[in-house]
Amino acid sequence: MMSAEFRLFNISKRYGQREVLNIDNLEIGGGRIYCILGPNGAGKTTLFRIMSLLTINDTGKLNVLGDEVTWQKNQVVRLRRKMAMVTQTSFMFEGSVYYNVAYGLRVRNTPAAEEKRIVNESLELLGMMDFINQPARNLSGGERQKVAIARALAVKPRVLFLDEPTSNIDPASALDIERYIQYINKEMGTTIIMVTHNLFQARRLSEEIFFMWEGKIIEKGETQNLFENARDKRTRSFLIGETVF
Amino acid sequence: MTKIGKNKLVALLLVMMFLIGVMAGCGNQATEPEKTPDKSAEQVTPTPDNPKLKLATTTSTQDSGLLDVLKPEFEKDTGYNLEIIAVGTGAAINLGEKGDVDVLLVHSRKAEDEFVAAGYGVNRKDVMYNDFLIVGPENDPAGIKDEKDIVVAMKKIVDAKATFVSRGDDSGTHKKEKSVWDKAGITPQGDWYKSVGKGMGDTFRMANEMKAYTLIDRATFLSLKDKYQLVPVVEGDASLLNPYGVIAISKDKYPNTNFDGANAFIDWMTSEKGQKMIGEYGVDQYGQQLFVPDAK
Amino acid sequence: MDVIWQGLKEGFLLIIAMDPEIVQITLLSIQVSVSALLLAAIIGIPLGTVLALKEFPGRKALLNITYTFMGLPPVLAGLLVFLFLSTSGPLGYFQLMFTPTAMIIAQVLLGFPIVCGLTARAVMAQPQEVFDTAATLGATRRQASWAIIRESRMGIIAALTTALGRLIAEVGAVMMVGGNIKGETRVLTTSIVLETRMGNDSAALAIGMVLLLIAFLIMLLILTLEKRTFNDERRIQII
Repeated sequence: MMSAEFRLFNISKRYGQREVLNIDNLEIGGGRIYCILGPNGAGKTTLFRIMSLLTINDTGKLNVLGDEVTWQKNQVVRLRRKMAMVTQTSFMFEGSVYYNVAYGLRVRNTPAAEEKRIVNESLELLGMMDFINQPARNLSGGERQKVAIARALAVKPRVLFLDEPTSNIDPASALDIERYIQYINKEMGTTIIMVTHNLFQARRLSEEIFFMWEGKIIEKGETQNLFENARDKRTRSFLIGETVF
Repeated sequence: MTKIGKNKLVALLLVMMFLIGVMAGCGNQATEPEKTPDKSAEQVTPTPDNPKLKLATTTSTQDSGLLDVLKPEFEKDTGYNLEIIAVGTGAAINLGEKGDVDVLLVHSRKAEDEFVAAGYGVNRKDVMYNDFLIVGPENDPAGIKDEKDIVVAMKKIVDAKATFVSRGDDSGTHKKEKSVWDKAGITPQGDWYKSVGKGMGDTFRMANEMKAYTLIDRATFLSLKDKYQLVPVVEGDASLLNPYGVIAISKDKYPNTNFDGANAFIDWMTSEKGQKMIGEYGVDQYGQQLFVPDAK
Repeated sequence: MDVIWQGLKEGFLLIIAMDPEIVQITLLSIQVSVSALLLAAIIGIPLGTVLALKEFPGRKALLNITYTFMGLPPVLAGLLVFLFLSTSGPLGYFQLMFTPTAMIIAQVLLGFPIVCGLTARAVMAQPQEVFDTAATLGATRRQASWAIIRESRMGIIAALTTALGRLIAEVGAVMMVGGNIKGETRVLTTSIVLETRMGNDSAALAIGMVLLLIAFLIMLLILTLEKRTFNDERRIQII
């Protein structure tokens, strides 16, 4: 029996006086598409950043991909190299699309020929080969998002974090990207953990949902089940669109 | 420790002098009228129509401190506010040619005569003279100590290729130096000859730092000699005399200059009182007269 | 008006004629200031980055000191170097006074805080996303820091331009520690001071034109560099 990819116990985080996260117990097994839902300020992004080792938790135990996280420098880099992230703004480095997609390979000292092959392959997959030599910052929102996904895929991550990957782009591109997400999970076996505001998207894509409220996970379960039989009153009102966020 | 401390102080003073020089050079010097607070003095200071009087002079009169002593007395006696612009003789004469100042106090007889002949200046009077000397390092690499003949001394400096620092700024002192080289029939050039293009104080400091020879006017030398290690090696030659003249800017050329003020300054400098003060200046401080008054 | 016209004419002729003395003075000016800039950059860029990115006690104080020294008066820099290099100073043994080396040292003192301070600001202006993106793609701390420096290129180039502009136009420090020795340490700015002192205003203006020409060439070089690395489309559009 494989152990869960992420295990959080008693994880909390405060900014000044305000506690933004307080998770008693959370396990994410891996291999599926997971969705974190919840209103603004529920702590989704903080949870995301802690799991992707970008923010240090104040208390608790964190276990990532079989390792008890000690925040020791080498460990953090070793674990981060098994994961990748795409954010809603998908920051692009100054430089060409090629440079951006090759970045993760370069920091791993990948040989040049190998680098070139993987960059081409990744861009090919996302249908972005025509843009390979363009300045990355000149791209449109949808194009950027695809390059960001190609960039993340180039490093062959075991886990891919997606922070509202379609909230800044047009509906057609969004559907396009959803198809890629499913492909990556089903065909490449990559665990996908995503935050979204789009309930329909969550229902379409995810297999498991974690519902957050004021820093806590108040409900979790299989997507189908949660949408039909939410137990918590707050989850129900959120899922039928009564909660304004 | 104390040695370094002293040197720092010296350098700091030099920087301050340098800054003052630059400010004066800009001509923006805001001179506060120095009112004499001595109310018991019976003398009543006159009030001229146009009290603002601009004097262009050489750095030597400023650096030696002579003008600091003469200025308040002149202002008390005549009621003028004297603004002093201390630059090289070349620049001072240039200021006169453009009518930017009212009166000159400079030391380059040839240039002064040309200035008057060209109609820029009138009422030229001799005021005083001082003399130049050659200073050099104590160990005297050229072996010219106590040489009475300047021509011989200069030739020995060249033969020894001893470092010589030249003002190189077309000033009265530089012109004097060039005339001495001419007299010795030498065109100075080579690594040993450093033309630095600076005022007397800075040139002296550099010569001291490089353990070199330089030509310096006595007033500046006496006022600075305690700070440096260079010593007099050649002095007393007749061709080392340095006469100062005072010239008013012509009213015909530049009607807007303060011609009355200029004449008042000339009269005062050549008056019995002015001459006496010039002759006495430096005796208290250096035990030696710096300037010899010679108004006729 | 005559003087200005005369100066412009003389300046033009001076540039055309390539007078050997002016050429030598110009080359020395460039040599001194560019060497000083390179040294200032070699220590200033890494240090500025460390000040911007690394959290350690006294970091804020060091930053403030750096910002203060960005306004270091050239004569004061000259004086400090003079005190150290003078025959009786602690480094007098090396006999560096009145040499181009002394001028470079003084200019490094002037240029370093500018490069360091402006680099720190350019780096601090980068958004958190730069680090996040690099880190999530597997960069080590060192590699991520390098990515941040790379993103700050524009600001760092601006820092270098500002510093070079200040150094090439600076007169107080080079005058004091160089000594304006003809053929050895005379540079464009000290020549201007000298010519002005000698009353040769038009000659001074002429040399000033050479200085301006150099400034123009530097700017041209920077623009070419920027064009090569950056696209123009990111500039703010005001409509």
